[in-house]
Amino acid sequence: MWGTNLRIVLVVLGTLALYTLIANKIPQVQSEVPQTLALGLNVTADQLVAAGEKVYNGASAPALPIC
Amino acid sequence: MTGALLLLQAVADTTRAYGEFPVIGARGAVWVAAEVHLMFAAFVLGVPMFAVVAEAIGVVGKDQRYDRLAKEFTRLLLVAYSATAIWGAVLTFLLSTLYPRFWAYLTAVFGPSMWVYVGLFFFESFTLYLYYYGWERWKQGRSKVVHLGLGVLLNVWGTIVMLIANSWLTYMMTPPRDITPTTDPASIKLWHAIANATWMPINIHRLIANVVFGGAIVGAYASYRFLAAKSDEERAHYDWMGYVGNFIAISALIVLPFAGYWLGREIYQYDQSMGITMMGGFMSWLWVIQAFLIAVLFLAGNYYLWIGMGRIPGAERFRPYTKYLLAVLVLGAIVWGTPHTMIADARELAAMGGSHHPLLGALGVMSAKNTAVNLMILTTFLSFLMYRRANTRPVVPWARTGTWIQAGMFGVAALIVLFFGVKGYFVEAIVRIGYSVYQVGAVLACIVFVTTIDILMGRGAQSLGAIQWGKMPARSQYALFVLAVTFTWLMGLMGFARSGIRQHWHVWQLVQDTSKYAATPALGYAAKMISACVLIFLSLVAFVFWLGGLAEKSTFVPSSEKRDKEGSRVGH
Repeated sequence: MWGTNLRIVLVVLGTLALYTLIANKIPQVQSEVPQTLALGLNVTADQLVAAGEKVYNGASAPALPIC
Repeated sequence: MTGALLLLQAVADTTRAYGEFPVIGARGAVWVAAEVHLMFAAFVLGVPMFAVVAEAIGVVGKDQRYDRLAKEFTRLLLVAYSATAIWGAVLTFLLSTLYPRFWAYLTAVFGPSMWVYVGLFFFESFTLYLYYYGWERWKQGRSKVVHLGLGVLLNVWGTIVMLIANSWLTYMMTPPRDITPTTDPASIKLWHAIANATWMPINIHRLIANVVFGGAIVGAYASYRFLAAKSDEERAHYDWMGYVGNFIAISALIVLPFAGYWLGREIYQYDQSMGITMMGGFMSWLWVIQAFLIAVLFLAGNYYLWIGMGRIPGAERFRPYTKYLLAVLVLGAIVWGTPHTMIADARELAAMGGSHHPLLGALGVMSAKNTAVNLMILTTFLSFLMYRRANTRPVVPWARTGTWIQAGMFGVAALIVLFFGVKGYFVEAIVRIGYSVYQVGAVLACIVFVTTIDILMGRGAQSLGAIQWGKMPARSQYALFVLAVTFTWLMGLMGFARSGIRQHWHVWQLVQDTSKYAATPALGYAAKMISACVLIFLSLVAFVFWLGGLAEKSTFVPSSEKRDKEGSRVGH
């Protein structure tokens, strides 16, 4: 009986481990809280570039429609 | 009035918004409590449906096996109810201490429904006690009908409890549009908040999912008892029980995606950006994992059926076809799991030849995915049909014609699914979405009409031998365990999807999450949390099963014992 119990526990743990592993192997994308961007009239090109980078790399940017 | 509101606002502003929890943090604590509570809730809602249907089949068909089966399911519920209530209390205390401001908002909107909710627990619990402890007393004649009525009533209470809880969580996702961040929560009409955009789709989706879940857990229970059985007779009983559990789980699973489509459609209609976040934004990879899990479910469910055909005389004639069914399932799973656009760096994009892979671009769209899943459903239905007909030979004069009509229906349904799948590539997205309705309609019509013909054709059918229950290899039982674990994990994953699409909002665009846990975590972290919850749940369920076995004997009665009892009755 102990052998059966052990096999069941191994099947359950193995299945859980497999799903957790797969979910950790794919690209990890976290949805960040959007930051307020305050750009005044005297904004420089560097500031704009930095702001653009931030938007481009932000979590809301990679919208990947699959419909 | 204005003064009172200002006072209320001042009190709310001085109330601390968030608490802290050691080691796993506030979010982790609420996550575990909510998810394990939900898993137990699904179990105690799904199993009574199962039990009352089994009891009714026993009454109508005058088959005592079903009555014993129903009682054995119900016995599992007694301790599971306590566990559900305990986890519910844990969740409530955690919410009120770790998220007090948000909790105050929710109670201000839903307060009266919470009183009804907790009041229904009394009705539900006492109906369960009556249902279980009155089983032997109300076993015959009219009293049996009353007992069956108690089972129905138990389901009614459970369903109302679920509908109330669903209104709270769906309000968090899709609050009515006329409510703004400045709306006083106490002024919101209760029914207006309850009947929000996603309430009914979630109700239907959860109702079906609970049946699936209940069936899967009962299947796992039966498989454990099968593996631990000490006699062939006991093994046969639990083999049959496992089959019934798997049959109900897979049957309900087949219609579950349709309820999912409806829910998805409502989410898109409510707020397109939320829909895009769900399907194409940071959660797009979640659906690849979901596809993998559903592929496991379909493959494990079919595998169990195919192995089960080994114990059915006459099933040999269908066995050569299983390899083709397997091929369709594997191909369908591959298509369904294909992502549309890969998240890749510049080097990977260059190697791939652009943001869309030549193959992924074609197979990653919903046209291909809908086609794949509908063909997988048709294939699984065909497996069931073969299983059902395995040990019979129809004798009605129109049997051959009927079989050809059934085959034709499968063919037509598959052609409709393929036609709209291909046509979907040449039309706009908005038209393409509508095509999924035709695909689903064709599959459902095929299932309904083919089953009807099969029932009519099976009348007076020649038997090729009785099913040899219990003659199943052990590996088939492990497949049932994989099914139970996968269903539970999938439930956790979809819970994360539903909750995660709110992103940094407690209540979408009304109450913002300003805690340090406001960012929605990536799938890797979520998977660890889900696995931990599943492990806690399954460990507790194992304990519940063990406790059930400790308190009372199995409802399985060996025939020798039955004979002894009957003998002693005759003697007296």
